Amino acid sequence: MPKSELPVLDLATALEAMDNDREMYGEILSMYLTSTISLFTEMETQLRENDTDGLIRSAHTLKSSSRTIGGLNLGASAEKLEHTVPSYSPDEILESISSLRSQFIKLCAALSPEGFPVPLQR
Amino acid sequence: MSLFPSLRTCSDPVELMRAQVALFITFLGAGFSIVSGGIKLYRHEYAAGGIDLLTAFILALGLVLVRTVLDFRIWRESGLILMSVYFIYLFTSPNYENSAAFWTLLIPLMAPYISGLRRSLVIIVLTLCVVLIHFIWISAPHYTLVFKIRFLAVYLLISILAHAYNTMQAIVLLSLNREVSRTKELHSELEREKEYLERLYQTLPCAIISRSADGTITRFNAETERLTGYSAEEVLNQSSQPWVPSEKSDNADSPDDCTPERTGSNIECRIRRKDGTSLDVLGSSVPVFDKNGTTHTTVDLFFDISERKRLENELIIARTRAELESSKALDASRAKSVFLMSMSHELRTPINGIVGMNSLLLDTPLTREQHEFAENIGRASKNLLGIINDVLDFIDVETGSMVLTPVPVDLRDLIDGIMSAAAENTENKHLDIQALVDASVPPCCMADPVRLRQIISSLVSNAIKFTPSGEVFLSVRAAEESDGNVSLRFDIIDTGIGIPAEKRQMLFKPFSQIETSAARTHYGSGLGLALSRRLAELLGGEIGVSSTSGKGSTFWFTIKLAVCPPPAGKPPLPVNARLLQGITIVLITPHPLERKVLIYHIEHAGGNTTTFSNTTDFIEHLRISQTGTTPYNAILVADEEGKDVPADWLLPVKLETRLRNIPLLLLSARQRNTMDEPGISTIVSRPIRQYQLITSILKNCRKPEEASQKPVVTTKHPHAEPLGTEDLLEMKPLRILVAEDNAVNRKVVERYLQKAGYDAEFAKNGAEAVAMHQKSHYDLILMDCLMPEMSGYDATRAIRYDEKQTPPLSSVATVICALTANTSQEDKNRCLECGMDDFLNKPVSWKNFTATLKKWEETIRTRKKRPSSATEKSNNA
Repeated sequence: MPKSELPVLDLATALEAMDNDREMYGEILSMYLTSTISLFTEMETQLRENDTDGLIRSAHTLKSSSRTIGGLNLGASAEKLEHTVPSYSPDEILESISSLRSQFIKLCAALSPEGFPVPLQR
Repeated sequence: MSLFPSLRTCSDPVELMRAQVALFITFLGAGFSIVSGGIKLYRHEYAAGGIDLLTAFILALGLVLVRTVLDFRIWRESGLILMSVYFIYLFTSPNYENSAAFWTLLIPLMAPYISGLRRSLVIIVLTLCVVLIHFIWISAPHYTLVFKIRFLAVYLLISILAHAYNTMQAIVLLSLNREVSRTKELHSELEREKEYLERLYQTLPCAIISRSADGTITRFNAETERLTGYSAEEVLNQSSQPWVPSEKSDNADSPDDCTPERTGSNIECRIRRKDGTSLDVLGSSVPVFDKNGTTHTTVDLFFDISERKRLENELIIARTRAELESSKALDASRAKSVFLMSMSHELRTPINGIVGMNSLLLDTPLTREQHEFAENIGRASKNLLGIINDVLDFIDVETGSMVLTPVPVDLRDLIDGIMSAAAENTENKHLDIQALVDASVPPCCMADPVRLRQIISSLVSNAIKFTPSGEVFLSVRAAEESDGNVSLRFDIIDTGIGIPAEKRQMLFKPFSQIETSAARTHYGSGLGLALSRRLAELLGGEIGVSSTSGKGSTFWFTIKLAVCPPPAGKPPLPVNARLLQGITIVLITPHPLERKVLIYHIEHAGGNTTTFSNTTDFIEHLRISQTGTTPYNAILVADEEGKDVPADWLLPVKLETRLRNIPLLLLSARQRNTMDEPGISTIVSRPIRQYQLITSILKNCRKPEEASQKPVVTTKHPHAEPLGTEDLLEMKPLRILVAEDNAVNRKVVERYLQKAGYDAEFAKNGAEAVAMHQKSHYDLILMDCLMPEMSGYDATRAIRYDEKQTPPLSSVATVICALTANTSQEDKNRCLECGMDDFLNKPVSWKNFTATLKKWEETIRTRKKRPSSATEKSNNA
């Protein structure tokens, strides 16, 4: 499947991987949401400080954790950034981060109807 | 003239005797006639006339016989005697008809003195006179024409017969008179009955109208006049009933109109009075049938029910008004709830933003003062969020929109979680917080864990809030069990400030606070208890409180749950098995409640306990007993607040040679690592969790028979537990290290391990993992490949290098399993080349994870049983 056609959220696969344990998924999702928000800030800081290794690591982290919770599209985009950071200009990287942000928001929006409201968790 | 000429002139004695016998018989007949007639009269028997005729017939027969047999003259005397007797009867009887009889009697008396045609004429004239007299006297309306004709016919017939037989005529007339007299009596009686009925008819408080078969009104009583306003003269003999409305009313609510066709049961209807007004009546029509079964007349009956209808209408108006008011109030209440709900949602969004942003702010470099402010903001926002959530939940319950989702719940697990969270939030108070789930509570029940947790958490946090020092104790027990359902009772007992009796009643009311002054010390929405009550009711139970001011309170609630088998893949905790049979544990804790809970759990699992308040007492006890060996299998010591380990209080235990081989378990609320606590076999966390307590004891202690039969295997590892048997070896958990920099992936692995029943330690990068491995032996390391500071590849190489350079801490080499998102064969080869044993693809699935874990656990245990060969194999690899 081409990456552009990847779903924003593949909840079924993610839940299946976690033995359909919705409670566990909710717990991990909560941690994902908190850590990802700060990860974007961290990536912008790394970009400002020209920390290429840090950026690769952050993109790797985003890729890995997004796939864990079923955010396949975001995971693919993060992977793309992970591999292209050394060849990208700072503007291109900034644009990629911005794109990742909007995909993250879409992912959050897709989670709400599935019974995992973001960020209004009670 | 002599009264009895015939007798006086009779000279023949035989004839005289005959005359005397005839007189005697006549007397007898007359007496019998009078007496029997009198009796019949006295009895008011209408049919008496018939019997009198029979009597008359007998008498007449007797007299004719006498007349025929004896001489005519004798009859004459007999007639006179008879007449004399009859006169007496006449004078004593008040009946006027008897006068007629008197006149009639004159006819035969006169007859012997007249002869021929004259005699006949006299008889006829006299008879006619008597008949006329009878017609004048017997003129009452109750004598019908038929009766009169019949009377006349009989009279004439008898008169004609009397012409031939004078005697019989007189007696028959006497009888007829008696019949007339009876009829008169009956007539009077009928008159009285008629008068009574008429009076009743007129005075009954009910309109009664009689109608003939063709509908003509024949009777009409006074009440009908009063109700309809029409007089009897206006409507009698009329076929129409002017009070029956000609058209049906347009008003749908009005009673049915009265129509003549309505018969049988009562109906409510409205009549139109003469003055044009309407009147509500309850009416019915009753057909009256004649003996042939055809309708003779119809009787209409009406009762005035206007007063009742007026009251009914007033009642309906009042009720409608009340319903309207109630509906308005309900609408207002619903509108208020909807407003509150939308307001709360609107409030929650920005507060969530504040909480989120504040947590991000706390991660940025801040001065100490700024950090403190940010933390305060975080606390306040979370409190506010909690209150809003309470309000939302309360509205959900009130509006009936809260839906329970029952799932299989392990109550012990649930309560362990609640108590752990509660213990972390004791606001630095020195409280002994404990929970005890009784053995009667089933392992698994169908419950909504969110709502159940909400009630228990609310009551426990309240107890903590209002208890400055002492204990907070949660007890759960099964009150009754039947038909697969169990009724559970939860008691939350504290030694806090208590609640004054007068304020207890307002506790469960929404938005009520016991402290209402501005200077109150405890804050909250005042919804917690009200919400708990509603939730408990929703779960089929109730809630209550008992309290002594200054001494503490006990909040309790009950719920009804269905017992269910534990879900597949999650075996129940072995709470009822006697796992600690034959094991004796020394318990050293200064807290009575903690001691009570520990004793319950250990003894319920079949173990024995010896308790001491502190270590000094325990050592003193050992010194006094002076035995070479100790009967204990493990020592469980509660740490003391504010004292670090190792400290003076624990040192005597460690130094005691007789206790050297006995595992030492530390009960602590603080996060500790056994690696940092020399001499401690394991840490048991506070508050006590039943399952963790039992498994910790099982994993660390030796049973007495095993200790005596087999030597203890000692290792170089300072914290290695004494291994005695294969059973204990089986129980000994794998020591697992997880090296993962990604918090999300770390959490995933942590949850998977928890779910599979393993504990693990964590490193955030390769360098940390290497350092931890140098300090301690791990059976299994789950190693992420890409990590900051040191990658997983480099860390693996370093660990393998260490294992070759320095003697291993354990008899077997560590298994290292890569956690990698790169799944190509090239990547796998790279992992194997640097010394890893296996790899798990990321995202890690539960299925792969457990399969890998199981595979390596078996391998590790096998290697441990054959240490030398395994080590060699590993080293060769």
